[in-house]
Amino acid sequence: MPIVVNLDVMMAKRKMSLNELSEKVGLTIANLSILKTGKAKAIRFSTLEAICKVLNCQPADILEYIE
Amino acid sequence: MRFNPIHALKIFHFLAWSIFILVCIEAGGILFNTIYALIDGRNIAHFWNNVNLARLYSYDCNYFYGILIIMNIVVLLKGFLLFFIVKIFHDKKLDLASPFNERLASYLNKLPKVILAIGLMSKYGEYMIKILSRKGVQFSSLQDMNVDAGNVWMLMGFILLVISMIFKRGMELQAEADLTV
Repeated sequence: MPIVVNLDVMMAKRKMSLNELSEKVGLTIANLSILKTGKAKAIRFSTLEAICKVLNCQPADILEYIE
Repeated sequence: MRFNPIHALKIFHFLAWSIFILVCIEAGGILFNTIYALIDGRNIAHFWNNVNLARLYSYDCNYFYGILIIMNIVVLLKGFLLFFIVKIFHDKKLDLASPFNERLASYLNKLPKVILAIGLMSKYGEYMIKILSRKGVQFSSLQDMNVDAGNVWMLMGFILLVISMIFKRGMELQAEADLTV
């Protein structure tokens, strides 16, 4: 898929575990895992907003387009 | 009184089993009578449901065998259809929490084909009986011979075919929704 999710990179930079992120964002670990492994087909703006808020980053830090 | 889908499913499950047993009895009866008619031939005048095939046999035994084959195919297809329906309930594929699953989709894909086959065979049997009736062969009613309502079966088959296409699309939408975070 051309859109790559760099969630694990940001989580490592912020030294945050999946459990902690899941609690703060309000998503289940299963859903975060789907996002992290690149299996997600779509992401809601509200989810993206919550992740960016918790990880203190920009959407471009999480999502990357690779041809 | 509030409509409870779970109770309704249990009622449908029971009804499906009841109709399946009745169709199996009918299929067994027709099959047994067919084999007995082929071996002995004494029951031709009093076939299943008191259907009299003696005049057809004396007119042309090839048509007799043809009508027998059609009757057997139709009743076996009906049994097959009911078996599928009972299997859907038995395998617990009707999960109202997540109804759009692949197993149910595959059942819904097969059902209209079986129903259309029943309709086509019934229509063909009806057509054969009409032609033979015009030639002077007397028959019992189409209902007794189990080849009636071909149009209804075909209409049901087409409607179910459309529903299965919609269900397939629903499944794609559900898969997409499941992978939307």
